[in-house]
Amino acid sequence: MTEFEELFGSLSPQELGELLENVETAAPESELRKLRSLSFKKAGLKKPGKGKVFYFKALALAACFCAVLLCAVVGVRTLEKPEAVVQTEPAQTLSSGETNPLMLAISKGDENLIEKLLGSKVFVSSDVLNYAVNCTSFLSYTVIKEIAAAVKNVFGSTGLDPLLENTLIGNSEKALEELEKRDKMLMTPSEKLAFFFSVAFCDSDVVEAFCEKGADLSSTDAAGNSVLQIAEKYGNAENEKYARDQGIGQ
Amino acid sequence: MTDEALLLEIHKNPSKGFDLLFKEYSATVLNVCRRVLLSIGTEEDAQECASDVFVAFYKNRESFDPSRCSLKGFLAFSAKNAAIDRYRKLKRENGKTSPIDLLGEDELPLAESAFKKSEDREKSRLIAAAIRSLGEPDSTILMRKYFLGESAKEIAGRLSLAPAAVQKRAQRALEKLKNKLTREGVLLD
Repeated sequence: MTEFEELFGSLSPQELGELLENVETAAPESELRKLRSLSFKKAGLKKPGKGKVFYFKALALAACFCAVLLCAVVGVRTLEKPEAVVQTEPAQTLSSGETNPLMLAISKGDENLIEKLLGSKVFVSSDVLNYAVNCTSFLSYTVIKEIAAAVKNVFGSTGLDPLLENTLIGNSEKALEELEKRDKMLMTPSEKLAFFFSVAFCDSDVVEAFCEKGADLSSTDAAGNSVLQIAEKYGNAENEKYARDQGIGQ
Repeated sequence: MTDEALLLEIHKNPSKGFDLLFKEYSATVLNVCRRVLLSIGTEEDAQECASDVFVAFYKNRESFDPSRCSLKGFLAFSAKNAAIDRYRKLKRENGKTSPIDLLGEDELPLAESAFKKSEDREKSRLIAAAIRSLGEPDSTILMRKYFLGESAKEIAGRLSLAPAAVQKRAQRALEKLKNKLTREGVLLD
């Protein structure tokens, strides 16, 4: 510390307050978010929640569901085919003409076979990963993460949207950076899935950032799992606690 | 929001009040901690230190008197002391010598010592008056550079100046400050 830094350090709180009065400061949002979580935890305080908002949203969702059910009972088709997370024409066959065994295993939801195939260095591609990402209604996130790791190992990149990739591989820092680049999100299928991946594999800061950008903590994934169930299933204690603190039940 | 309103909010609704306090002053507190600690520690050390400042204020909030100084000044001062304290601890753990020892201060309880020594208060008053006498933007440049630890590039961005201009102004302002404080006996010739 230089002599002059010592001088500035000698200023009293009163003088400091006056000199800093009109000096606006800023710090990286990701750092401030971490600091906020840490400060609240140490102070033994609960962060001001959005629980009530989500209760109302859950009620609204339930009302919509009842309306949809009613329409289905009287024979009116109201549901559209769910939009694919990633638009792709999966390569069912290899260039040699043989059927891609990994693709077959994914389509059958045979996770044991998928893991054996990954272990035996079967051919993987971003097409296979894209296909797997569209199968979250019956495929576990862990298996999809393993496929992503295999693709990244071979090609250096998964080919997925950066937010989707970083939440899937559990890179909380990069996921937060991606979120900061985005304004309030429309929660496209890809963004919704990235949100659920973050519940499974990322820090609670990422989940909170998603909620601030428009994610619905009371929503469920393609397999019908709630945020709390996803956090429990994938052993993410931090997000499990976060979900409970926000009033999300089973 | 005024300091009094913020304190009232913390009293009525601790969680919401703490959040407002945090949103208002977290960047200042964190920057002060980072400036002192990143030379010897990590980002985590700065985070731990900054969070301790907020928690300590929250736990001792009843003893804060807004008529004596502003919340911003109090928190900035507390952050500086806490960061120096942690710097010394890290230095002891790393076995390194530290120029912070030149400050010649022992462990400082959070801000309490600031109100005790009249000599220190007089020195602080003279330094602050000398800084203010430099006018704008020089006084702001010096505060940002030497208290908040911002780089010339960061300061330039905020004040719409070129980084080279910021460096030059900081240099000249320091010279003026040094001369003024030497004349007033705060600095020895």
